Amino acid sequence: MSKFTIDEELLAQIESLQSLLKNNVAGMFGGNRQSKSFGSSCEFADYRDYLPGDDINRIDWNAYARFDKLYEKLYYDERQMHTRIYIDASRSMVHADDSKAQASLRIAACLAYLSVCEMDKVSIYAIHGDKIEEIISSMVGKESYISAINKLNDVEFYGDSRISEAILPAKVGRGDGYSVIISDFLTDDNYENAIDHLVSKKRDVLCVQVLSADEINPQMRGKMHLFDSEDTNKTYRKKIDRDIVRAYKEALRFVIERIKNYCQAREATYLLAPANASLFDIFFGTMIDLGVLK
Amino acid sequence: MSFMYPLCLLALLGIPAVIIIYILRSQYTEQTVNSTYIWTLSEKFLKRRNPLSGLTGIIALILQLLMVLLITLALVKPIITLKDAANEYCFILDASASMNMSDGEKTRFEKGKDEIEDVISSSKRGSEYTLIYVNDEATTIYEGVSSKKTALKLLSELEPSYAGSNIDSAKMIAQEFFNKSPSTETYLVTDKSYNMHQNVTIIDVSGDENNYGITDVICQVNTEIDGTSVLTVGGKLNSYKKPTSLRVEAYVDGADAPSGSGEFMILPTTDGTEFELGKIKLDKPSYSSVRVVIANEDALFSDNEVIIYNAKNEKQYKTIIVSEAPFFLEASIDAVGDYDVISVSPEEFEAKYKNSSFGLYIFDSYVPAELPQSGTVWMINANQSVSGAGFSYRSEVVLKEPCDMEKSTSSQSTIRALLKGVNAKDLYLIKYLRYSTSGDYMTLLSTDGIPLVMAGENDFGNRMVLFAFDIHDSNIALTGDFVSLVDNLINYSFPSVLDSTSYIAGEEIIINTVANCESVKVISPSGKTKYLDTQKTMNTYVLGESGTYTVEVNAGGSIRTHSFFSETPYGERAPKTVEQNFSIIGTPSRDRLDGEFDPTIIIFVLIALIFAADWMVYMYEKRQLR
Repeated sequence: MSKFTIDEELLAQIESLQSLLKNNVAGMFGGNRQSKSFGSSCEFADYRDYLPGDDINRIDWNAYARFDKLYEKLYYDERQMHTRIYIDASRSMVHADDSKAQASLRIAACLAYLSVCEMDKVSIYAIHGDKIEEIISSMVGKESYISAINKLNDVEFYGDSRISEAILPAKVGRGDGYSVIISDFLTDDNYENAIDHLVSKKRDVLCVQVLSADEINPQMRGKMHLFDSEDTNKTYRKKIDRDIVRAYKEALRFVIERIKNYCQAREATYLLAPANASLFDIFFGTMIDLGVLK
Repeated sequence: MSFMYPLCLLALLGIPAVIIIYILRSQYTEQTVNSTYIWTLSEKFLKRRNPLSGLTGIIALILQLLMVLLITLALVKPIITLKDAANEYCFILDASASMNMSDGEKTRFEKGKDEIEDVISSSKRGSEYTLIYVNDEATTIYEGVSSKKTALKLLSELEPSYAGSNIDSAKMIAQEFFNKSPSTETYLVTDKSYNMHQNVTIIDVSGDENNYGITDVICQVNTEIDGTSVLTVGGKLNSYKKPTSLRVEAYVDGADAPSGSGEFMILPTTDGTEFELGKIKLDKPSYSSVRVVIANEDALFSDNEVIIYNAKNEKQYKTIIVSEAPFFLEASIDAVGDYDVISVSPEEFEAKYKNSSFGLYIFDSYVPAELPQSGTVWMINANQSVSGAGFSYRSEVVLKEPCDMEKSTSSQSTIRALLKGVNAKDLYLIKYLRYSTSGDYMTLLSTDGIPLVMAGENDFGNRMVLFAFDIHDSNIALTGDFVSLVDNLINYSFPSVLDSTSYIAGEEIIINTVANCESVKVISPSGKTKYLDTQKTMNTYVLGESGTYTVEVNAGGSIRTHSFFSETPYGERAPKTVEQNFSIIGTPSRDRLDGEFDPTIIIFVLIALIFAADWMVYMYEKRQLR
């Protein structure tokens, strides 16, 4: 597979974006992300009665003058999130052409950059079979991004990937940011438990389905005997004509709707990213429309 | 069923070829894809497919195999035999002058050809066709032709004649065909009606047209008191169907405007109605030609015009008499006409005139070393042979007593013409010569069967007269018979190109070859040209058309033109005639010919249909794979 590249100009544009988290952030370390809990940020949140031992610097003396009672001013807390990106590294992502793999890595890299810019930690994993392989661990700051992001080129795409079996046993964190699954999701249901699990951990889940142009609009015609790149026992033998292609497209639509509905039901976000679509369109178009970014 | 080109069955090898191509094309292309998940899932979404979709391949194969089979069939040209389905046809096509009558659109002859064409076209393949073309004589154009194309092509090339119709002769030929094959269907295509007919289908192509024509023309030149010449043109006209007012015009010497004209009410009569135009003043003593025409249009144009030519004296040739005593000859020639004659002695001839050209050479008791190669030659008392003369001298017979001369009793027209006015009574001679002659000589006078005066041709194709005696050894020169004989022989020696200036179409005429003739060209009214053989003293020529014929004679470098008119036969002018009987005698049999059916057209239609179906299947498949 050829090495992926990212346009620096695009990264500069991505810096202007901001990710929107649905769940209350619960990071361990202070950061740039506003938490629902009260802390020490500059943003005023509420008042409460002063209790002995409270910091007297937060007493609102104006309120005392008016009500003759001591009130403590409360401020939102700001936490550092941990964005976890899971890349489906199965053979189906790279067979025939590596456009899907390239697209997956670029999306992952851009999301990682966005998180890094927001002072969040970023970890990137590759899913191989029922295991996840940490590619980049807890990357913080642009400098470490620049030094670490090249590791994505070391990702090898082979075998199959069982998303749920890989993610469920892994340490996924709790309420501390995004979990992004990038895959073609060309499977019956092995991603559903993973989504449930991540949602239950109060993580914002983003499922990015990457499909190649030929998967969206197959061009092959005539008598074909197709073999699955991940499992050669899976074959499809048919004379592919208009009717078959029409049925294929309906099946694809069904698969997309199924995962989309599943995500919606669990307040996860689904994003279809054609491999040949530009990253700019994905980030500044689709993701903003979906409310993932602003 | 039989095949015309059985070798083409090899084209069936295309069938395994098509099957192999089908098998090769039916192979599935193997390909590894990212995932077969959606493809497999698509089975659930596959709606009821067009049953054709899965069968297009096998349908295309079946169609292509059928096409190979049909193309092979088309190549081998199968012929299906149909028992007793074909006929033998015998067509008698009347091509007489009356068949030229037209209703304004088509002539009767064209209608007749159309009728025959219809019968041939609708007949079963395998039939045989015979066509008899009838005018003055019946001619079998083709016999037992089985190809419709050939039969129709030869039919289309036929043109009507301007002659009479000898249907009886055609009937004899048709009877022969019927006798040979009693199943023959005979068709008589004519414009005549028959009261009775048997074993023949009469196709009457006559219409309701009227015809009128000139049946006789008389031109009379008279000299008026003031010395001018006037021409009176008269004759007879006939309107064959109903009374008609006809305008008659006369054109003298090729004038563009009518020199005289008149309007006459003509009734349908047997002999015709007389007419006479007013006096036409002539600029010269006589006329060269008078063209009389009926200005009204009718069904047959050819009998509406007659041209009368004034025959001229053509005997304008020089004569040389080579004799020591030419008196009798000079006197007799002088007596019969104004001829340019010179008399020389043999020595003078050898010295001066040996290489000169004359129309007539008379060698009296003198034999030249070489026979003149042009001009007529009379040899009198030639006591030796000469090369090319057609005779050889044998002996001299001296009689003790004079013997009588007898004239030929032959009915041959030429001999009769040469002996016209010769009584041959009390003619005798006392000495004669015996010759051996070739078959070209006719004996005019003889004694005891020994030829004395003969006429014929020499080896150069020139006319020759042979006197086997010295005129002085006979009393013939002292009788009137000699003048008559010399006159006849002069006419024979200087023949007119034509005997008449008016003939009937269909006639066989004689065109004489004149002295020193280099070429004779006959030009018909339609412009057809024919050159006659100048080596012959006379040629026969059949007048196939009606109108003015021109004969161009090139004699001695000068070209002289003779015109004569060929009239439509009188019997062919009536629009409708009724004949008594046309019967083919015999009992028709039912032994018909085996017919043939050529399914080639059906095969080609099927090929086209299958090709269209295959194309549709291909387009459907192409659309499905889009």
